[in-house]
Amino acid sequence: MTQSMMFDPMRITRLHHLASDALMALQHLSVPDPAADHLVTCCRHMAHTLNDMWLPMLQDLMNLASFTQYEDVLTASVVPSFSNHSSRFAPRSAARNYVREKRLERARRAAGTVCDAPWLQRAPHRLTTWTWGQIATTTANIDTAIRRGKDPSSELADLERLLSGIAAEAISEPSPSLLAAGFASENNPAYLATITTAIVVLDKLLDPQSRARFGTHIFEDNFDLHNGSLGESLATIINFLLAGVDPSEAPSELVLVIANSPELLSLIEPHLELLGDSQLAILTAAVIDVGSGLPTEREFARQPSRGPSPVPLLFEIMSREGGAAAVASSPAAGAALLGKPYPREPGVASRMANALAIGSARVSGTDDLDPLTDLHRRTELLELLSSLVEIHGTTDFDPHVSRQLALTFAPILDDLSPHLDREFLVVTPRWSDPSEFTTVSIGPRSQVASFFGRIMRDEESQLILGVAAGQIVSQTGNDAAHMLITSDREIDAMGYLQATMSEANQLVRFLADSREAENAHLAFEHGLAVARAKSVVNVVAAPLSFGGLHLRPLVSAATPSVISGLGLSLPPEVPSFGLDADLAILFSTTALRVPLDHPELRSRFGVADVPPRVWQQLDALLDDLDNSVLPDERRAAMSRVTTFVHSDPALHSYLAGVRIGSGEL
Amino acid sequence: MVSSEGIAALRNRAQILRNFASQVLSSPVMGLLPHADLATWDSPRAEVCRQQLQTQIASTRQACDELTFYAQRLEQQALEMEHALAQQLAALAIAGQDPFASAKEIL
Repeated sequence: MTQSMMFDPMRITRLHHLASDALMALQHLSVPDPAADHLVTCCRHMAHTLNDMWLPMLQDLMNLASFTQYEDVLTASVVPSFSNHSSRFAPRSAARNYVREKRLERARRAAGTVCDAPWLQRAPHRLTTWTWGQIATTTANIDTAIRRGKDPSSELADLERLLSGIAAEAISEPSPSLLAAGFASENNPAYLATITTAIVVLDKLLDPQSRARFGTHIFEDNFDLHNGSLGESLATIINFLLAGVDPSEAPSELVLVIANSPELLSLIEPHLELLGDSQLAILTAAVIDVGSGLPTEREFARQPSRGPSPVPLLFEIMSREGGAAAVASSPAAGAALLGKPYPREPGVASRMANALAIGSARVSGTDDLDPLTDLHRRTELLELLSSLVEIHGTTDFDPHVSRQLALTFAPILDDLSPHLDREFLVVTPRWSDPSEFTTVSIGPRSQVASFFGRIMRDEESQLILGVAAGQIVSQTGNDAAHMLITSDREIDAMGYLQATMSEANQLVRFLADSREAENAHLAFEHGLAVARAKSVVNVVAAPLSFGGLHLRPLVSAATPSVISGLGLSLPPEVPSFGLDADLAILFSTTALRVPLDHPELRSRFGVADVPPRVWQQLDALLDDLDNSVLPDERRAAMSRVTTFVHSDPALHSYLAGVRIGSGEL
Repeated sequence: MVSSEGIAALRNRAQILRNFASQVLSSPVMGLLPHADLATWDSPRAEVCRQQLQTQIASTRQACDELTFYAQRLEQQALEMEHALAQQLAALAIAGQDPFASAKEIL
């Protein structure tokens, strides 16, 4: 068969209307004269043709046009994709499920049609037209046979041969990613629709019900299931279709059909090596999504026991270098992975934890909503923390994973602080309705401590958590200082501060204990010290935000109170390189900038007599330090600052005082 | 015996059949194929659909022609009957009978 296949959706719609009108007109034509019997019979035949052949097919084509969201050959929009699911944490609302269900319904219905398309004629990336035509015809014939309960065996070998043909061309094509773009992008949704319908029909054929209905032998006779060529073709085609496709633009119908089919997955599984990292990540995410017990299962009205297992896919992707990164690089994958129940098979949990850490870091990145204001994200992060605490086991996180975990959970540390004495149950506003609250169980204190301890085996992760904890303490101190400053009542400043700081200090002690259990470095304390330095600066600078008020006496009283409220064991020597050194520089410059930038505070710090020339020189040196990028340059610039500060007794004693007061020294 | 009622019935039937054929010929289905051309729809199944309807339309046109022809025959028959009736009346007149009385009798 060499005939091309196509249709014009606009004309098809018009033809459907005309055919419907014609049918209605035919149904009203009759005459009781026996002489007209033949003509009446002819009319009846035409009515049957319209009713049984034309209108169903036209309707199917209209559905197909709708499925591919056809608008115009040149501007055809992309097949509905993951990107339509908006946020990574988009709720699985009834509306979303409904839309997805309808899309799948259309995809399945489209499988029962002859998948004709005019754009096949004009497509830039085209296999052989006859292959596509045959695929569509064979697909339609098989689907029709299945629906009518007839034996589809005569077409099965054709289907396998055709898939094999496409797979062969997909492999031989020198630029598969370019071709794939022609499949999945806006250039040509018809290819995708055609191949998707073929895969849907293949899924129908492999369904146990079909096997039971038509007998297993017809599959064994017609499909070379044992040598795996069908699975190989399928894996190749899927790899081809998803190659170079942004995960957020992955064609959801195709992916979901596969992800929902244990039979298709079992065909592909022996050939997972044919799938690239990105393609495998998309598929894995979809399978996890489907296997999570969320409404996707209901969408397909399948028994849970038939749900495909993500374990082989997970093993495959986690065993690859960059596999976890591929999962994490996919917003769809990230959304699917986060907060879902994961397989507890040995080895998977550890790999999953690493992948999750990467994914979660991406999710909690600063490019999106702030976790502190986005309640949905906050809840997701708490649930993620709960999952990780449960599954981390004896996992040794890679250093970069630890840092990403530390960065991920830093914004929600303050959620944990009030509950450290008990089971880690965090009450947080429900994201769907902030007036209600939901409780997230993080886990037993020992497990949570173990989790954070593992993270803090990495020195820089300690610093990150230390800074985060210090900032919480600092913020708490600031709030307390502001309260003391602005209150009209007589308040016991020290008692108030101690009470206010107690929860934050509990968090600090908890993290310090977790760190100590791992016998790790003391960078955590250093991170804390830096944050405490900022706290001092903030408290000292607090009156500036209340300009015009005479608050100095209160500030003078509050500052040492805050400092003493922060008291912890002093850290040992700070290294002169790496992140610690950077933080030490940051501490010093921050402390020096306070009197430099706020002359009105100089007298309080005992530097009122420092001549303006010294401040100018200090300003120039600090600018020089800020502009230094390379480590050696920064060290040299810091050395010049230190030398200069030491040369002025007042500045030297100020800086030493702040460092001692904050615990930096 | 030829009767005027029979002639009228024939003519009426012919008219109904002619009208029916005309109605069928002018029905929307007869003009459907030009809207289902290759630019609209081209595939093996589309071809089958088109061919089947084309064949049926051809059969229908033929049936219409036949019915129209049949209606013409009926009208012809009615004309012949009318003619026969006229001849019958003329024969009565020749025979010296009052053709009008006879006609009344006949009619």
